[in-house]
Formats: sequence, structure tokens, C-alpha cells
Amino acid sequence: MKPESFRMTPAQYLFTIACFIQSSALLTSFLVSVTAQDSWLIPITGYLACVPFVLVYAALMKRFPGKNLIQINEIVFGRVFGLIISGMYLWFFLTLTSLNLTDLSNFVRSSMLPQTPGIVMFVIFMLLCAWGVRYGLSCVVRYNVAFSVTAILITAASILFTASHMHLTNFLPLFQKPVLTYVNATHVMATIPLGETVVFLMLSPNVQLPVKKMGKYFLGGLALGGGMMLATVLRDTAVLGKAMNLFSIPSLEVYRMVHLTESMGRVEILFSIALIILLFSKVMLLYYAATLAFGQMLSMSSHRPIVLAVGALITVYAQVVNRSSLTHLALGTESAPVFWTLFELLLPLATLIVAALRHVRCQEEVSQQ
Amino acid sequence: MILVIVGFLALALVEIPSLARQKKRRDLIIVASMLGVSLTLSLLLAAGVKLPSPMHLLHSFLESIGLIYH
Repeated sequence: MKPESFRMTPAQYLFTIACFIQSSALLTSFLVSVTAQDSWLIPITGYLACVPFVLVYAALMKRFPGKNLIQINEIVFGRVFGLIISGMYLWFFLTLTSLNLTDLSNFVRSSMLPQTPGIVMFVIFMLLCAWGVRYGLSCVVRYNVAFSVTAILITAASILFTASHMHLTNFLPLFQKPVLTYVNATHVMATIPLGETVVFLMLSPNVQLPVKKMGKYFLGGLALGGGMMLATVLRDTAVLGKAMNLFSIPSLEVYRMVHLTESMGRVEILFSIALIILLFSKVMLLYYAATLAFGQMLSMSSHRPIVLAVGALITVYAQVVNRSSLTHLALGTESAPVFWTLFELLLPLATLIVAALRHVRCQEEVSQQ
Repeated sequence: MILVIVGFLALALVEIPSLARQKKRRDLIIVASMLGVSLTLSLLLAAGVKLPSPMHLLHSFLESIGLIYH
């Protein structure tokens, strides 16, 4: 399959990564359910735990410039074994897309349209994403800078609006839980929002950056997204304290507490808008990566003919993957971090080690040297 | 059930005729197979069949080998 000629600007690359992380603000309930009022520590430890992941991705991008994850697997492991590894990644991308689609549908239904069946949300949302994915990467990442900046401004405004409800005592008592609890939450943070950026290895040939700088921009995007998560958790803890545990979406409750004037209540709509556009951006990016992976594995002429077929598959999968928010929360905190580590750290690391042992390098790099 | 079939027919009408006109036989087979798999699964779901979730199977497997957080 011919790669797309479109190249993301460095700013688009950085903000697309940030946007990807910011959309996980919904998932702070994963952290809060484990570490309660100490959750503010986890974005920091999670970011530090994720640095080795990014170093592995940066090394892969440096060793195989101009190649995406599927092409790297084929170069390193050969046609047959490479296809098996790529098939595993494909399943991972499809699962992530379905899970995020489920998150979005659950959020819209619980906050705005409780009577609407989930399948209606899935179909409408996937048709919208398919429209974008058919136009290619330029359409998928075009508005991410605006989305990310909008979400940052809304979060900053919410901190100002809720300042009167914040109490430092809500952070107490500090660090009373067993060490394993913090390890669990750090693992969740490192693998669920941050490590999922392994999907950007599918887009690395489409960035207008020298390979040496890509790791720095990657870490920058993660820091921006992680910083926003830290600000969100700090705000929610300062406002709600231990009561955070009582809500499935603590941030939404914080916005509900804002009451500016008689005519300006209900500012939670701002949070809803920000979250919907961020999740839209994330689902569209994951959907694009899954379609690209499918197209390359099946040696298709272009990714466009399979966009709707992959969308249909994701819509069906989303109805099966998690049937309730409670099972989603349980899987997200108990088993997903363990299994996601395979795709986000162990497989990329194994690829790097095998490439080094077999002295495999990308032809373009050899010719540059 | 009828809505599912109509929906998939609409998807097929968007992609399949243009691929057939361009004589991209390989792409046509791939798209038709993927739509066929999705249609089958959708019909099963519409008929009330409970399909197993791979995530739940993985959770059970990791739990059986003691590799999950409690």
C-alpha cells in the first residue's frame, strides 16, 4: 500500500499526542477508585514510568525512519511472523477504538441523552469518524491543535470558577495506602492513557521532523497531556476530596458545582463539549491506525475502500467488548494494565532487541549513512 | 434485524460498485468478506445471542495465572 504523502507539522504532532492523553480525563475514575485523594501523585509517577516506553519508541523510529509499526514488524520478523505480530497490534488498535467508542457513548448517554440506545450513538459517531478517516491523516489531525487548546482553556477556566470550593484539607490524609496500591495506579496511568500512544508508531513516517527530534516531541506531547491530567485530578481532589469515589465521572460533578451568576449555571456543558471533541479526535486517530494496519497487512491498494468495513467491525465489537461501566472499570484497573504492557513495552522492546541482534536497519537510513 | 440488513446493504452500495467498476478484485473480496463477518456478528447480536468478549476471556486467563491487581 502506498504511504500517504501528507506530513504533520511538529505542532500538530505534539498537540495530537497531547489531545490523545487529554481525552482520557474521563478515565480519572480509574485512578480515583484505586488511590482516592492521593490520585494527584499518579500522573507524575505514571509519566516517569512511561519514559522508558517512549525511549523504546524513539529508538525504533530512529532505527527505521520512514517506516510504520506494521512495516517495521515485517522487516524485523519476516513476512509470516511479522504478520502474526502485526495481527496482534491490529486487535489491540481495534479494541482501543471500541473501548473509547464505548466510553464516549456511555458518557453522552449518562450526561445528556439517557433515553437514546447505545447502538444509535455508536453508528452516528462511527459514520462521522469514517467520513474523516476516508479523507486521510490530514483530516484526522487537522483540528487537534484547536481541540487541545480549547480543552486547556476550559480546564483553566474551571479551576478559576471552582477556586472558592477548593480546600487543602481535602488532600488529607496523605499516602496512607499500601505501596502496591500506588504501583497499581501508576501502572494504570502508564499503560492506559500514556502507553496507548504506541499507536503513534503507525504515524511516524508522516511527521515533518528529523527522526532525532521525534522522541523529544513525543515526550513533550505526553508532558502536556499528562500535565492536564494532573491539573484535572488536583482540581477534582481539592473540590471533592474523598467524595470523588462516589462519582463515576468526578470532573463532571466539579463542573456541576460551578454557579457563576443567576443566568450562568450549568457550565458542565463546557466539560461535555471538551470531552466529546477530544474523544472524537482519539477515536478517529485509533480508527485511522486500525484501517491503515488492516490495509497494509492485506496489501491493499489504498486504505479508503475498507474504511466503512472496519467501522462496521468496530461498531459490532464495541457492543461486545464491555457490557457495563462497572466491568469496564474493573478490567481497566485489574487486568488491562498487565495485558497492555505487552503491546506498549514488551513487543516494541522485543522488536528493537531482535533488530539489533539481526543487525536489521532500514534501507533509507543505511543510504543516509 | 431488518434495520441491520438495510444498514449493511447501504454500506455495501457505497464501496462495492466502485471497486467492481475499477476491477479491483482483491480489494472487492476483502471488503465483501469484512462486511460479511460484521453482518453475521450484527445479526447474532440482534437475535439476542451473547457473544463472548475477548477482554473478559483475557481477564479470566490472567486471573487464573495470578497476574491481575486486586
